[in-house]
Amino acid sequence: MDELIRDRIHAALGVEQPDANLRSRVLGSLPANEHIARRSRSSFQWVGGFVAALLALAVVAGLLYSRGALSLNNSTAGGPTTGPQYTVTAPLLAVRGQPVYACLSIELTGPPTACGGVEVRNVNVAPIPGTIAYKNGTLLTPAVKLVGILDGRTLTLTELPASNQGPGSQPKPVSLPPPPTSVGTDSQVDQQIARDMSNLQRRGIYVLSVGAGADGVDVVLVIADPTSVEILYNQYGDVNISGWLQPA
Amino acid sequence: MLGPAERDLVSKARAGDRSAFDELVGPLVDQAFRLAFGMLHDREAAEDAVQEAAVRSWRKLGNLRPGTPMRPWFLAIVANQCRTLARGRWWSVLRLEGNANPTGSSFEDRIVRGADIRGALRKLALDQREALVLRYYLDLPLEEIAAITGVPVGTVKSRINRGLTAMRPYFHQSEVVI
Repeated sequence: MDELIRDRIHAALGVEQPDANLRSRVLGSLPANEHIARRSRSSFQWVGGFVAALLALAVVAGLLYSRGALSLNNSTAGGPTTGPQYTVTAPLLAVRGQPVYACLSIELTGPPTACGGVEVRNVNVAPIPGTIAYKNGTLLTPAVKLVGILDGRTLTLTELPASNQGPGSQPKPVSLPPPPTSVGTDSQVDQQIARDMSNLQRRGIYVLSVGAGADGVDVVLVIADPTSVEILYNQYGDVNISGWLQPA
Repeated sequence: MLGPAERDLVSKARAGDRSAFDELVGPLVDQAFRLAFGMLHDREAAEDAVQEAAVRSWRKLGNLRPGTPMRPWFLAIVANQCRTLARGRWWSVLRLEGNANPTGSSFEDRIVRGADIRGALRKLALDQREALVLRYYLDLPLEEIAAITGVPVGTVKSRINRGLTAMRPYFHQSEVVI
């Protein structure tokens, strides 16, 4: 089936091939010396002082961070203070005027405007080492280990974000085996789950992503606790469930 | 992840070396055009999108996160540019819809030209069209499509699946699974 679709789409879209000169035209259209000029101007005029100031700030922020003074931010507190703790390793995205998110997936173009993941409270992103600060105020950290209390789709941190050299956590498949049959074709189940998102949320089940693949329908939940898994199995039959956040 | 050679080229390009940028982006121009044409269905608009994306990537090379491979990053900029153009060029889509099945063309001719499939692709939501083009025209793996579009792999699968479901009559198959 894949080959049939591929062949038809290639045939349909292949009627317009890129012009042989497109590469040279595209690359020839780059603004002359703009890139170089901007960089060299900055190097010689004011960036030296600016960088020195930034370095000083970074040192102070790093010291404060290591003492835990900046990372848990009381201004965004307000979530639950007790409850089971969950953990995930993920980059944090802070877009100005929006909540901070721990990201399972994130736009590659910069600055990113959104990501798929969970809201994070009680965190101050700026001092986290390796954070990229975009000109528009957006902040993006490397993957950090987060521990906190989960309320729906919001994680209120109880510990400082811990630096992590590796990639972020991938959703972990549940160990409970699925029922042998499904309630419909993969496509039908996929679309049914997409339609049921609000109902599932009312029952405390938060779906991060759903999609039908070659080996069935994959569902990623914020947490795949046994109750949620059982509900999904009862409702949709044979689906592949994985959970992103894990008990700490 | 970036190999040492690509990392070196990125460093040189970030320092303003246009030939390094050419080496990085040049080989991607054809793929970028195919993505843009698949999304916009207009040759001129596709070329504009690639050109603008190249300029943007040249200017924003400093934003390339360490370790990010060039292809998904550049194609993500192309896709963003296409989304912007698609939103601003509804008139173009209407114009193309009007020309999709020119009077007098035979059934065989329409099939050969893929006009039916192009028409069906144009009717899809832009995110589904983008996912189908990346998967079946650029033949990219799901993980790379997820990186380009900024959504989880499951969402990519879902978009592809919904797009294929809508286009099912054109593939003459009762069930479509990716």
